[in-house]
Amino acid sequence: MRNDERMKRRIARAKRADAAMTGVFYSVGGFFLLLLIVLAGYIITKGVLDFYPELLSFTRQGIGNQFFNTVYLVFLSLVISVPLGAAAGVYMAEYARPGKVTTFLRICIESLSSLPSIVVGLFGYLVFILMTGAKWNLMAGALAVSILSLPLITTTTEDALRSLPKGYKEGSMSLGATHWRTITKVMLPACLPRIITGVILAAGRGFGEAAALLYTAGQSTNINWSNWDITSPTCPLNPFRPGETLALHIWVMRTEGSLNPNSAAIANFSSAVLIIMVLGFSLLARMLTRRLNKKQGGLK
Amino acid sequence: MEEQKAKFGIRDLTLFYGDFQALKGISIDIYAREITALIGPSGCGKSTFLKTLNRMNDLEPNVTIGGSVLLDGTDVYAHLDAIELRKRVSMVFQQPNPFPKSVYENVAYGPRINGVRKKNDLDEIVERSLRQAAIWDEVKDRLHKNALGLSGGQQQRICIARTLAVEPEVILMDEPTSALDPISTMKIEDLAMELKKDYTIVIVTHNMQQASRISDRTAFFLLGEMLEYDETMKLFSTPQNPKTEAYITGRFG
Amino acid sequence: MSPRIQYAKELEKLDRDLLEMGVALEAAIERTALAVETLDAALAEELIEGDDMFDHMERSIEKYCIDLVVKQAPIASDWRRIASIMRIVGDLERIADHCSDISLYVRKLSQNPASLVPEGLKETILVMKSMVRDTITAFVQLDTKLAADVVTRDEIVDERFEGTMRELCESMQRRPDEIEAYVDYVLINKYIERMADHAVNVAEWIPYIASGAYRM
Repeated sequence: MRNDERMKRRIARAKRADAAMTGVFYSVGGFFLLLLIVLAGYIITKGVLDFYPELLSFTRQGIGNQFFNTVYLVFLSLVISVPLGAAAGVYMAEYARPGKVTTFLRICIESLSSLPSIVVGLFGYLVFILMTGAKWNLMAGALAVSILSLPLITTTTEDALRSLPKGYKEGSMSLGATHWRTITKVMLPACLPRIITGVILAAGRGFGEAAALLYTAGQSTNINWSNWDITSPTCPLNPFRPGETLALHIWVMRTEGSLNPNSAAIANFSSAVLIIMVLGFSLLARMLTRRLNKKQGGLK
Repeated sequence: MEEQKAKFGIRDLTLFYGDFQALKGISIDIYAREITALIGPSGCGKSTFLKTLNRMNDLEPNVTIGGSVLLDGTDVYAHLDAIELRKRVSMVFQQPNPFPKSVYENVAYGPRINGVRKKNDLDEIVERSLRQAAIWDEVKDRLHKNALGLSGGQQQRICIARTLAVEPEVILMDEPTSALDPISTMKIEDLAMELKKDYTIVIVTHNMQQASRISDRTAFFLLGEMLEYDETMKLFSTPQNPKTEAYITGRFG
Repeated sequence: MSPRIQYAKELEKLDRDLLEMGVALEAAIERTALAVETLDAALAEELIEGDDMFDHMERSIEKYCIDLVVKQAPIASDWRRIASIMRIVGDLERIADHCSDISLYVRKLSQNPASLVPEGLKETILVMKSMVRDTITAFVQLDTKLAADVVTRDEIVDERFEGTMRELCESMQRRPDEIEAYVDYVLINKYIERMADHAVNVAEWIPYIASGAYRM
């Protein structure tokens, strides 16, 4: 009988601890949810409250141009970093042989991803602006952002390839396909959902970059929407023109932009737009992944 | 038995994974249009041996191979290109491994590698291969749906169709039914017996009843050596090597 | 400890059961010989009733083998042994039947004996008895030489069978009033010859069990 009593008490104690910890974990989860809601909610609400229609215009008074610059710059950076990053990922997963060189390479890639943005920005300033003798331009900014997103895409690609079932590669090779063909026709397509997710996340990061673009893409923008001569510095599509992005604009508005009476409103609204963009892209990444996963028939 | 030409002639084949010797001087003739079964306990080298026949061992690091493997008299390591070899000697794996693509794309993959481009030609090859694999009726209405949505047994038959589409001479099967339920297993055994009329089949199996049911010859492997190789009925009713007898009766003692 | 312990035990039981039947059979043949010699009606009666035991043994061993095959899927030497036992047990049962058959005629003869008793029968029975004993021994020890020897001894039995037949025909001619008795002896003679044949059948399975040499 006494053993039964002890057993019962032990079980009761274990159950209490279990309930307590469950509560703790739920609270932590709830805390994060609350944090996001409060943060995003505050910013978006403030931005929306300060909204006036002129803000959406593509002129000096509005943030349309900055919005366009942001998108264009991130697009350019992806054009550079995705092929390069994917190729590096393929190399690391499929070709690199385990050894000192590969380990060193891996360390380099990991370090790249934890470089402070401001340092990358200044490096970009040095190499892409000073050494080339150019003025601030979008391309330089795109290159700086690429340095930051490259490791993310490389790691995503490598992890995606490594997590594929060995059977895909074996099956393809055993049919007489070359290694290259197996990678391009079977393995990469199978990884596509994960790689695209990585790309979208990298894009999301790129939208929010400010420090790296300070001295590369520039703090001003002068676009003439009727000018489509790509060599002209006021053409929207010219990558070699200065292009202030949304994130930078916020910074500018809150520091030097005090000359502008509407600077607070502009900054608030820009923040709201930026947050919405980043959150939107995150959601997009998830939705796309789920759809692509379904198409591939329940891949992990 | 009439004089048969050997499809595969293997002499003194040795294989090392680094320092570990997985195959210790295997010599065996595998005959065309027969099912040859390889049996033996786990780790005895039968799967390793199978993979030397289509050079899938090349994909693993640190592998050293000695001796010779001759396919129709040509040395597979010295005088044949691995890619070319694998078009003649194909493989079905233990875990069904269809690509995450549609059934059609899976079966068309091989022919596409070999340069077949026209839709009509591909359609014909896909249908023919799926019929040969005894699965056409089950998938003809969902050819463009993902292959991963099929059951394990069906997926394995898709994999078989996939290998048939490249028109190999030899089909290697590495425990093709060990992950499948009994009915799917039976279907694939029936399929193998049909296929042996046109193809040479080498099958690694853990299941001795399967070996005795479908194979013409059986080889018994133990610890990297091949201890006995004979016509299946002889090996299973009067094994010459006592270790063979101990293994197949399940009493190692 | 080798695996399939249960299976090994089942095979051992099969061997024991068969040996038990063999031993009982040898005893029955011994008593049949005595009955033929002494024309003891009471002994004959016992032997006739005793046949049921052998029928039962045969069925039980046969069923045991069938179940064993379904359950354990024996192959190689296990299967050769079990397949052979399924046939051997049939031959042993027939030998037992003939003991009973002979006893039926002993019973008849006990009431109606002949005056010219065929002397050779005793010897023939001895040879047949040795064949049965040796074939069982050969089975237990998988002694193919002994089994081959049993097969050759069948010739002796066949010769003696012919000789006894001639002797009985003569007796029938000399004492036609006792013809019924001599006919009984004819049948007893025949049964003895059949028992030797069955012993040979058993012996033919032994090389198959030992090395796979099928009796074709």
